[in-house]
Formats: sequence, structure tokens, C-alpha cells
Amino acid sequence: MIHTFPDAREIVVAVRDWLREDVVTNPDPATSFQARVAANLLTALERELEDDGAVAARFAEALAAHGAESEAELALLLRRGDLAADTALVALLTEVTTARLRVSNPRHLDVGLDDDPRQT
Amino acid sequence: MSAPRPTPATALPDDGRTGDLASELCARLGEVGLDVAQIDGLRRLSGGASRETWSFAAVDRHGRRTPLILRRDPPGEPRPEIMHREAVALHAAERHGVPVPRVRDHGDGTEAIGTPYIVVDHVGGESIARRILRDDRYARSRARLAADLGRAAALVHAVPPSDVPGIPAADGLALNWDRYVEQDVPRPVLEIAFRWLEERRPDPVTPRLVHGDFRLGNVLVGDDGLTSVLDWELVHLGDPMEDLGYLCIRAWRFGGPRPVAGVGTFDDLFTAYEAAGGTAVDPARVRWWQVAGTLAWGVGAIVQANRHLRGSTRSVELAAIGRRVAEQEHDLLRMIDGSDLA
Repeated sequence: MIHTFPDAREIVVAVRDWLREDVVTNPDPATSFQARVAANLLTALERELEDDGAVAARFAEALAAHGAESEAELALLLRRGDLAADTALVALLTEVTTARLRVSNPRHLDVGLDDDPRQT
Repeated sequence: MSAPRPTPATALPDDGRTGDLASELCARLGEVGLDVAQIDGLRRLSGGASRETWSFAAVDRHGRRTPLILRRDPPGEPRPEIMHREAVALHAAERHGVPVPRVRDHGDGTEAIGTPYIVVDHVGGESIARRILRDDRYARSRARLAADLGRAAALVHAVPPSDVPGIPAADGLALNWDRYVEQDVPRPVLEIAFRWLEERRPDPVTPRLVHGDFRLGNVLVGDDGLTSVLDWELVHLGDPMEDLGYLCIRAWRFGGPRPVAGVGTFDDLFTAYEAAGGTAVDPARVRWWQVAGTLAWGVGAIVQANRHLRGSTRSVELAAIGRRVAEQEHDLLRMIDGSDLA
């Protein structure tokens, strides 16, 4: 790590706070709205910089084990029927998706939703 | 499909095109029979969504004002067939009593306005979900919203397909697959969801008029309930349960706790739908469309992000939507029962 003063996280926070405190108050509503969206993105990026990469490493291993070089290649194996969605794969994809939401939108991880029309 | 986070319904600054657009509107609306001496208060209402929306008033020689809305494709992203289909569907829906804004004019952009467009009456009400779900003034409307949506859906589905010439009989899942493949962003969870749905297709039904984007954010809500059904660009013939399932996906609850638009129960929705003449609701079929709708919005999020990433419309809002694909994947994994996958 050589880019440390300030480091990436500190820069992201500085830009985010400027957007949230100064740009959001812009009288042009479109600019204000986009600034709010941009600030939220930087909050997610801040969380991303704190991600320890453990899930990404497991995902990379699994991709390699299936002979796929990328997530897109894994998807194409499923599309062609060269790979079946077994329990282990679904568990891994669930783990990856959860890790993504922990960064992009942790509130979406709520469980126990009243969600199924067949239960009413 | 519209962007999931509606932009504020306030004016954007004049970018220099407003004067030209006002003269064009004045001339064009005169040609199609409106008594219009001048256009007043022309202003752009939203940015970043799939279409431009402009508000203005047509003022006649006696100073009487007719408040109108212009929706047009962004220059550079014209979709004339879709605009035409929407106009035809709105006409038919109005004739059959669906609450919709009256169409005053539409065109493919070759004769006026420069890009495909539609001009409709301005209808009072709020479209921004966050306000409908949280502002005090909509408390009464929230209590009846699920039932209002059920009644509106029943009216949409009762419009005779023969009154909407040229409307596509669309296989929603196949259309969505085509859109997904065209985006070239393959995702394992979406592949699994497409296969899961394909293997569990409900039995075919007599095709009805289906709105195709029926949800909070695409309806107007006033102080006493729903006032108008908007955004008909995905209208097609298909299974009416598609609209009910799509309405109830998590994204369109905007954080609200209940399954229907964040505020209502399935029972409120289904009871009102059937009472207003809709076909008997089959919850299992609604569930299938709920999964299909979640998948459709996952693909929609890819489409929106690609508009930014491929450069057709640069926007931080569109870029942000790309990360929301994971939300739909999360919901799909939750709804798809893992035990019957293999």
C-alpha cells in the first residue's frame, strides 16, 4: 500500500461528504437528485473498500473448478446446460449475492417478508 | 421500462431548446384541431428516465388554459413503434373506462417535435412512490390503494384486444430472455431463474390486454386514491396475472412492509380485482409472474445501467441502477425453492 495519505477510503469519504453537504443543496433539482444518488454510490464504495475479499476468493476458486474464467462464463455454462445448478452452486451464488448486497444495499438483506400470494 | 427511482417532478433549467419546442407544439396542436394561440409554462419534468416528460399549458385566444403533458423519446433513442402502440392502447383504455390521461396527439417525430412523442391531458396526482408511501396527504389513498389497483387492473384486462390493432401477443418470458441476451451481461442467478420459470410455465390462458409495467411509480395517486394508469409502453396481449404478479414484486414496494405497492395485502388486491370483473385469481399463477417480474426488473436494471455504460445516456443514476441487479438476484434466490432446482 503506497497510496495512503490520504488513502482511497478517505478520498471517497471526502468526495461523498462534499456531495451530500454542498452539492445536494443545489437549487437545480436534477443536480441535487443526481448528487444524492452519487453520494449513496460513494457510501457503497466505502463499504466495498472495507470488504476483506474472502467471498470473492471463494467465488474465484469455484469458477476455476468449473473451468470458467469469469462470472459471465459460468452463466454461459448454465445456459448451455454444461453445468447444472446444484445445491452447492446455489449456496455459493447466494453467498456472493449476499456479499454484494452488504456493499450495495445492506437494508435489502431483510428476511421474513410477507411475500407469497399462495400463503394468504 | 422506467427507472426505478423517479426523478423529482420539478422543472429542469432551460437548455435553450424550450423556445423552439414551444413553437413546434403550438403549430402542431393547432393542426390537429386544438384551439391554441400560445404555449405557456413549458418545462421539463424529469431527467434520466427512459423518456423526457414536459409540462405545459395550451392557451386559446380567450386565455383559457388546457394543461398538457408531452412525453417524447430522448433524441438519439427513438422508438416510434412503441410510442405508437402506447397511443393506440391509451385510446382504447380510455374508451373502456380505464383511468388514463386523454391522448391529444402523437407522432413518430417526422412531422413535428423531432422524435417520437405523445401529448396527453395533464392529470392531477403524484407518481413518486416515496411521497405516496410517506406523505400525510396520501394517508387516505394508501388505505385504498391496493383495492384501487385491483379495480384498475380488472378494467385494463377487460379492454377487448380487437380494439388495440397491432398489439403484439407477447410471451413475457421469451421477450425478457431476448432483452437479456441482447444486453450481453450473463449472470448465473438470472440463468437459473429463467430455467426455473421455463420448466414451470403455467397453462396457457385466453390472452387479454396486459399493461406490462403495472406498478407503483407508473400510476398517479391523488388525495382520494388512484387517478390514472400511466406508462403503457410495454402493453401486450398475454396472461392477466402478469400484471398482478409484477405489481407485487419487492422493488415496487419501495421499502414498504406490505406486498402490494408496499401498503396493501394480496387479499385487498385480489378481492377488488375479482369484484371489478377480473377473472378468478390463481395465487400460484400470480406467484410465477412474481418470480418472472422480479427477473424482468433484474434484466431492466441491466438495460438501464447499459444505457450509461454503452454511452447512449450518461448518468450517475443509471450507473447506480446496475448494482441493483443483485437485489433482484437476492429476491429470486429467496423465491426459487432450492430443493426443486436439480
